[in-house]
This record gives sequence, structure tokens and C-alpha cells, in this order.
Amino acid sequence: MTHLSSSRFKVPSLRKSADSEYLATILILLAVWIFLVVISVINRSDFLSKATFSAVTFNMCIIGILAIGQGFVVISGGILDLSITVSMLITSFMIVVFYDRGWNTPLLIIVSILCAGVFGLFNSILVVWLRINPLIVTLATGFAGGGVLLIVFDRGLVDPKSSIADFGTSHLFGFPTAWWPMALLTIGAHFFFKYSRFGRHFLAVGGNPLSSKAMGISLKQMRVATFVGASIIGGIAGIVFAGFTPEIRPNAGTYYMLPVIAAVVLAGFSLAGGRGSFLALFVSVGFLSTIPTALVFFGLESIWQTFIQGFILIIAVSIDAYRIVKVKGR
Amino acid sequence: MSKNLTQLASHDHKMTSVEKMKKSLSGPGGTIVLGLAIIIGTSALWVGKMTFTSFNVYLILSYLAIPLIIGIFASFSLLAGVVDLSIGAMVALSAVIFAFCCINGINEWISALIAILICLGFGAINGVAIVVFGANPIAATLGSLVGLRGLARIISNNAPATGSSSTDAIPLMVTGLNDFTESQVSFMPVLFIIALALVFVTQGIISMTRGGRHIRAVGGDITAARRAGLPTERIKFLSLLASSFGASIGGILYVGKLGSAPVTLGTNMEFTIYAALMIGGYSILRGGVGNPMGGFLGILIIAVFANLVDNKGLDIRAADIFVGFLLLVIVYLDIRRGGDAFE
Amino acid sequence: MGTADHRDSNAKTLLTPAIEAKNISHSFGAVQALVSANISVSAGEVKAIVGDNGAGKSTLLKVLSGLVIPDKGEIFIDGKSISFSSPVDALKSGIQTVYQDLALIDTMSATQNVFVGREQLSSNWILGKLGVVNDRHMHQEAIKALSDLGIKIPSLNATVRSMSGGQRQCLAIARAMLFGHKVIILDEPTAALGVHESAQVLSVVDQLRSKGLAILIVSHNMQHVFKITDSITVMRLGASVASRKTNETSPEEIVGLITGAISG
Repeated sequence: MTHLSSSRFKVPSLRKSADSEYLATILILLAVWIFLVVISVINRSDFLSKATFSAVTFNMCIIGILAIGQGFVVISGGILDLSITVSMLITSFMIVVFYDRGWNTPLLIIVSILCAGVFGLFNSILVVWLRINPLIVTLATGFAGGGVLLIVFDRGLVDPKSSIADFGTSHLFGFPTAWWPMALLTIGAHFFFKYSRFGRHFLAVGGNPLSSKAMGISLKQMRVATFVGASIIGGIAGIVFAGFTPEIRPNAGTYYMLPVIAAVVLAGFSLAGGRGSFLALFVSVGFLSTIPTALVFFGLESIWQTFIQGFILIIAVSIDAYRIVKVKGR
Repeated sequence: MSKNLTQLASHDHKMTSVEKMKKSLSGPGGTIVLGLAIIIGTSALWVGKMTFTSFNVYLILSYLAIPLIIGIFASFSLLAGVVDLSIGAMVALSAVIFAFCCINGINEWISALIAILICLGFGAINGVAIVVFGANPIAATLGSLVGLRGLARIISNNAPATGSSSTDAIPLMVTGLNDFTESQVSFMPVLFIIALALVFVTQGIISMTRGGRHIRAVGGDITAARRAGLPTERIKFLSLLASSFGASIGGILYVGKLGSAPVTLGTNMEFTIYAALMIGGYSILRGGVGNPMGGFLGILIIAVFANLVDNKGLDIRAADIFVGFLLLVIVYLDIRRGGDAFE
Repeated sequence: MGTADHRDSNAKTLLTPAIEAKNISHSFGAVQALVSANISVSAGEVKAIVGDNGAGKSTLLKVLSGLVIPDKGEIFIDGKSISFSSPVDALKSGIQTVYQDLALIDTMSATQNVFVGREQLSSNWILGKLGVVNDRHMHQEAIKALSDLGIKIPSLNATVRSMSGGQRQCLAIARAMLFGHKVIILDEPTAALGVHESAQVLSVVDQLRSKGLAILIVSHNMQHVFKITDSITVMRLGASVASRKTNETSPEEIVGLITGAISG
């Protein structure tokens, strides 16, 4: 097609735009977010309140962490992890199980997260050794894992006096304590992918697996690391989830799956891999988490939230795709 | 030259007669039939004779009829290489709109038409995003999935409350429609007969008509199809409309069958249906592969297993474990036969 | 392969080119890809376009196949001026291009690939109206076309993904022949092929010439160019700098023209 010939001439401009493109995404998302806040304040001046702040930051906790895990998979070329909420719930349930056995907190946290890691290892084995596409693998393990969770655990009750529940309900430096893991992970992921050599390898594998392989990066190792890593991040979300959910249900995951993918796509991550910014992801999570509260202030029921989120997603991916097509000069 | 010609032809012919049998047994079709045999066998051994009673067969067929209709229409978009994840939400939306119109005193037929048209409208939005703007189908239809489910809930919440009903469902008994969805010929539900007829018609369209060829060509290799002068954009767009049409029909039929329009209707249905279609030989990752007969068998396998789980009094979610496991096995076997492996 | 007889007999038909492009200029932004380039091919002639990377070969090829609409210049088909606004126009004018990626659909059979977009409908009135295709007839035509060109493909009903590179290339050329009645453009037809498969493709090209088609080949392979073509056009920096009869030139001269060591 025509872009074959024109790409030769467009390469410099593409290279130049790599960093500024993320900046543009971040600024656009930030602008939209601020716009949302401003019109909400104009609508009702009491929007800027402690209650709003608390609602938004609590919304961000889980979606934010899961989105980082999902973004990690997407940016590394793993397409999507449709089973990431299963990782989360495995950890949440294991926390309850180990707590009931009287384990001490640090130990049960570590072991519960490792359980999620084992689940991720299972995903990666199917991807790497059976060479099944990750989308199908995680669709299947998400299905099967959800079924197993439902059969094994009917529900899990978190002891409100436990330090886990304490963590979920307390505040630290003005934010909910449960917000901080998400913030720290965002910063960690940003620096990891931007400056570390291992992070660069993930980006390389996501952008072009074959040439990365030719350059001596082991695809197998990277894929295992991707899916185990994503499940461990999902496990961290599981701890936070157990922190503020008194009663854990095995089907709780379905509520989070779609907003998480929406946040990743909205943040400009390319589902083809190799492209995305975790700072943009943070803003996108923040924006999506503000919508429900803003809607309430506009007198709309919070059920409008999903409708609006869905169509924001369609518009965002359309604009994004259109922009890419224009860059290619088709 | 003519000798050469006949040689070529005869060689070709021999291939189709003898080796075709062997080939089809080791091919995807064989795996599916084998899978079906195994699951029916398991059911026969485990549940016993009850598996084959006409009532049980009726239950299975009745369970799969509507998903089959939805799946067959959705298979057009899979074949064209665009995944429509919004079908489950579309089912709920259609059901809720239909019920909402009906309880507001609109004639059932007109209500159904309104539901179908609105769903087609949202299908067109998917189409514009994917075909015109070139959005990733998974991301765009995921947006629809979220959005339409939200919309279904909004409509449901605004429906006039009737009696003690909660906001999670609009109760509605459309007698004619209910009779239709429940009617049967001997042990076969009429809906199933219709769905089966649809399978055969679609099979004919896909394998024998020009339109079917074009859909498969677009899904198989869009660049090649474009070079061959096919209207690739229009084909993709129409295939997305087909999948939303099927979902809207499914939603209306569910209202008839259930006597209400629950907002949670069709939750995760997109995944179950696509898993079943993939078991039947379709792929959500690339178009151009799969056929309606295979898709039917895939859905049948899952329905028989769900029935087995039900008869043994097990948790219905056990069927999800089975779907997940079977999906992996089938896809792995396909890779072993030379299908698309990951990296 | 391209025998001397062919070249002699073709000399008569060289008078009216099947396709001719005159003074084609085109630029992508600041880059001038074509600078009044000229090319013409006659029926029964095989012509090569050679040149270094970036010499404008592929842009010229895209102009001829309607993918790129040139800024300036004229295209004539059988002496009549024509302008393409899309690849479909070029196809309709009888110009078929076989690109390096071949544009075969992996999931479909050889026959289906040959006829994709031009399926023949059943002769039965009702079935034809319903859009039912006549597979048997298409199958026979495909067999006939392939055997005419001496192409051996084990089963036309197998999907093309199981075929070798040479078979795929031949199939793509056969498809072009079946529907392109005037001009076939081949982009690097032997680039990714082994020695044996290249020979197979070249013999198919020879068959096409004897059928009176005009053939334009873009190639880097001097050996193949000299083996099969009647004439050669050399491009450099977007312009067509020289045209030579193949039997009146030498690889050394052509290479000299390509690099600019010899000026056209």
C-alpha cells in the first residue's frame, strides 16, 4: 500500500513524536479530567469536598492497580490478560484462608501474592510451551479460574479487626492508605519501563518480538515474566480488595474487568504492544474514577457511569486509530 | 497438454474421495465430533439413561436454541475478522427495550421492531468506529459492551415499577411470544428447529455463495481482498450489523422465554458464545476460518456439558471450568495441526 | 525461455504500446520520487524496470496500478489517454499487478483464490440470483489456466498456506493472467525464491509472453532480467535514464547505468 513508500520518509517524524505523543495523551486526558471537575464544580460548588476526594481515591485503588497489571501485559505484547481479576480474587481468598489459620500478616500477604503468581505461571506455561495465544489462554483460565473459585470458596469474610481491614479503612497523608500502593506502583512502573534495562526489554518484545529475539532477548523468559508479573500485580490488588471488602464474592471480578481494560486503552496503550505510558494510565484511571461521583452531582444516577464510560472508550479508540491512520498517511 | 490436464484433474479427484475421510477425521471437524462423542458418552455413563430421554434432549436443545441463533449471526463478524464483544450486552439491551416498550402499551411487533432498530443503530456505531476510523475491534466493542449494559440498566430503572418487582428486571409476559418460544414438535423445541435451519442456510451462504466467499476473503486477508476489488469496508460493516441483529433477536426471544427482561441477561454470554464458536473451529484472532456446522457442534458440546452438570446437581459454574479447559485443548490441537501458534 | 524467435516476432507489435506512461512526476512531501519518468510496454513484450533502491521503481509501478495518483504525467492504454483514480480503475483497464506479498488469502483454496472477487455464479437462474457460485466450473477453469502455463499444483482444493513460495507466486501470476487481459506487472517475482522455483516462475512469464500479454517486471536480479526480458528500462533518482534492447546490451552496461557510472 501507499504507506510502504511513504513510511520511509515519515520515519524521522515518528521517532520525534514517541515521547511527545505520550505527553500529548497525558495532557489531553488531564484536560478532560479537569474539564469534568470544573463543570461539576460550576454545577454544584460542593463538588470539591472531602467526600468527593475520598470517593474518587477509593475508586482509583483497585482499578488503578489492576490497570497497571493489564498495562504491563499490553505494553509487553501479551495482548490482554483476561484473567487478571482471578489473580486478584485468588489473593483475596487466600488472605482470608491464611488469616483464619492464624498466620502473621507479612507472611500471609507474601504467600497469598505468591499464589496469584503461581496462577500467572500457569498462564505463561500455556502461552510459552503450548504456544496458545494469550487472549485465548487468559479467556480460558479466566473462565475456569472463576468457576474453580466459585466452587471452592462460596464467600470469604474478612475479620474487621484484622490489620488487613485496618489498612483498607485507614488514611495516610490525607489519602486512603489503600491508595498508596497504586501510586507507588505507578511511579515504579513508569521508571521501570522508562529507565531500566529489563523494562526496555519488555518494550522491545512488545514492539517487535522477532527482532528482539534476534537481538538475544529470550521471548520465553519475557513472556513468563510478563504473565507472572501481571498476576502478582493482580495479587497486590487482591490485598487492597480484601482490605475494604468485608465479604468477598467469587464473582466480584466481573465488575472490574471492563473498566480496567477501558483505562488501559484510554491511556493510549497500543493493543499491539510496545507503546504506552503509565503516567497517562494514572490520569486515565483518575478520570474514569471521577465520573461516577460527578454523575451523582449532576443528578444522574450512578448507573449512567457505565454507559458513559463505554462510549468514552469507543470515541477514544476511534480518535486514536484515526490519528495513527493519518500518521501513516493512508 | 490435455493429458496433463486430466492428470491434474484426476489427481485432484482421488484426493477428495478416499483421503478426505481420513483427513476429516484428523482435521478440526473430527476433533469436534470426537469431543461431542466423548461428552455424550460421559453423560451416558455418569448420568445414565436419563441422558437420552426425550425430555432431557428437549432440555438441552431448548437451552442452546437462542444462544445458537445469536452465535450464528455473530459468526459472520468472526468470519470477517472483526470480533463483536458487545453481543451479550446487546441481548440485554434488546430485551429491556422490548419489555420497556411493551409495558408502556406499545404493540409487541412494533416494540420488537424498535428494539431491533436500536440494536442495529448501536451495531452501526461499532461499525463506524471499527471500519471508518479503524479502531481495534476488541477495544471498540468492549466499549459498547460496557456502555450498552449501562444503558440497559438505565432503561430498566426507568421502567414503571410493577408490583413487587425489583429494578433488576422488567417483568413481562407476552403470551404469544412465550407460547412460541416454548412450543415444540415432539422432543424438538420449535426455536431449535429454526436455529438449526438457520445453521444450514448460513452454511450454504458461507460455502456456496459469492457473498459468503467475500466475507471469508475479507477475514482471511484484508489486503488481498482489497486488491481483488472487494468492498472490504462494507463487508465488515454489514457483518457487524448481522451480529447485532442476531443479538437483538436473541434478546426478544429471551423475554418470551423467561417472562421478564433481566438487566443481567447475557452477562458473559459473549465469552461463552465465542468460546463455543472457537471450539467449533472459528477464531477470534483471525477471520476466514470456521463454518456454521462446526459452530453448532461447539455450542452443542457446551450445552450437553451444562446439562450434565445440571443433572448431577453440580454448580453451574463447573461448566465454565469445562469450557475453559476444552477451549485450550481444541486450540492446542489446532496449533499441533499447523494452526496459528503464538510466536 | 525467451528465445530469439520471440524477440523477432515481437518486434512488429512494438509499434503501439499496450501501456505507456509519459512524463510522470510525483513527490511525497519534499521528496521527489518521480521526475518525468517514461515507460512503455507492448503486447508480447517482457520489459524490466531496474534501478537502485529509491530510484522510483515501486512508485512508478504504483502509478501504473492506480495506487498512486501522479502529480503530473499521462498514461495511455493502447494509445488512448486514461487516468486512474483507484486501483479498481487500473484493474478494469486490464492491468493486473502481482505484488511481492502476492495478496493470496491463506485460509482459502487455490481455486477460490484465483477467482476471489470475480466468482462465477451458477448458471441455474434461481441459484445464480441467490449468488450461489459455480465451483465446478471455476475449478475446471483454474486447472486449465494453470496447465496452460505449465504450473503444477498438487491439489487446487487445499488451502494456499500449504504451498511453496514458487507455487504461490505462480498461482498469483496465473490469477493475474486470467483476468488481466493486457498488462501484467510483476514486482520482484523471484525475490524470495530458490533456484528451481525461480526457473518455474520465469517459464510461466515466458508462457505469458507467448500469449501476447505485455509484462512489466521490477527486479534486482540481473541474471533473471537478462534471461527473460526483451528490453530494459533503467531508472535513477526518479527518472527513466535509459532504455535498451536486452540482446543489444550487457549486464555491465546496465549496472553502469544504474549506478550512474555510464550516463544514459
